[in-house]
Amino acid sequence: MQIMKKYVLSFLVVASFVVYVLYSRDIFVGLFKEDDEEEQIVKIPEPVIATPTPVIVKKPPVVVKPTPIPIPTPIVVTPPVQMPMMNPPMMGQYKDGSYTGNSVYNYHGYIQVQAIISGGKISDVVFLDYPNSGDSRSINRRAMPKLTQEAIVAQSSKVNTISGATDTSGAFRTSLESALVLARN
Amino acid sequence: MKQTKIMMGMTINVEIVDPQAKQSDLDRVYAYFDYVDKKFSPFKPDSELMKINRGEISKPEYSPDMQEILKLAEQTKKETDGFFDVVNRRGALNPSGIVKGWAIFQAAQILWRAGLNHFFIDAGGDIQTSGKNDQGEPWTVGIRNPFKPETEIVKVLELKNNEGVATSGTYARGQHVYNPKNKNASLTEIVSLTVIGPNVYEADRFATAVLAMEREGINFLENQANLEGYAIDQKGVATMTSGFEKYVKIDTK
Repeated sequence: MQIMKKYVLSFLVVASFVVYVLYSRDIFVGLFKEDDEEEQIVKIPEPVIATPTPVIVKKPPVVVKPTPIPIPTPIVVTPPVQMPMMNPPMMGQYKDGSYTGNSVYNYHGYIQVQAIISGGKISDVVFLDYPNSGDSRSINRRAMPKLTQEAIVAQSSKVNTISGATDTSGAFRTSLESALVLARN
Repeated sequence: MKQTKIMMGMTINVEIVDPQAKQSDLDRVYAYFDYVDKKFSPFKPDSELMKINRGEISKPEYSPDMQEILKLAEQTKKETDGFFDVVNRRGALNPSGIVKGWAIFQAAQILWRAGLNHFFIDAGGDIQTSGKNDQGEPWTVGIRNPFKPETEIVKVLELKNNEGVATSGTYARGQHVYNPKNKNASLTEIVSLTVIGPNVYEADRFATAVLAMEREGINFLENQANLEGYAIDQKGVATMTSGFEKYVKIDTK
């Protein structure tokens, strides 16, 4: 009887330990799972252009009465998804390798690109030169007032003339085309 | 009278409203741009710039205009904490970031000296205004939509005091378009930067340099007493300097 008791007691101790270990493991597994999921959520790449950013109206002075929250205006425009002026290269049109295009001047400076070809297709375009962008030093941060922001909205007013940077794209295309000529040969 | 020509790889629009304006006034403006192109062109082998970069001309032999440009470029480099540099990565002299605005401003001075007061000169989207338009109203300048550059404007500016406007952009730079594996690598946040200055020379040299400062650029402009700016990021959100709104014409639709 005494011996039986000993065995039963030992068994119970061992069994509870095993149960505890298993239980703990489950928890660990669960924890790891949770961790993994969390990491996965973090890792999902943020879409570059996902939601319209609400218009931030100039901050009014603090008011006592609750003010209606300005309804965010959806952004009318969406950034281009692909280069509209580029002809899609045909499969196997180019030889694999890196090809440096001509340095093309656009009166803001030089633009020079390198086309990376793999599997006969353009896999990347690298900027070797871009007007005044070579220097990545950051300027001194100064205490700044909060500047007004807004979502851009198309205007319909007639204007005398238009300010914009259109000539960069031409220089970009010219440099890329010259790189692709090399890739073709 | 109006005229448009394509020179120096860009469209140059000139409109003169003064009734006494003659075709010869327009001709002189275009002849001036031609002169600038011949001197500063990196394509024409006999341009002064090319001769300098081939080591055929020594510093004391530089023309007065070349010396002037280099002096202004050095000044701009200091004022922009080194963001504007006329010596490029290959060590060649490249004053192009400053030549365009300078040339437009010089061309405007040709018209002023000829007694003309109501005109604008627009070279590749950088503009010097003077006086009023043919309706007797301030000149209006649209800011091109960087996402729909062919068809849309996103702001209308009204310029009353002979201001200059210049826009720098990276519409076509878009590494993110070509690098789907690493979308967040070297993204260009600011895709369009418009600067309003007391003249097009001031506006243009800062538009060129400040674009490279990315998000800090608009803060830099905020600290310049005589410059206002409007920076559009890749999400289509614009940040403006505190004095910018006084130039904005309300859209009447």
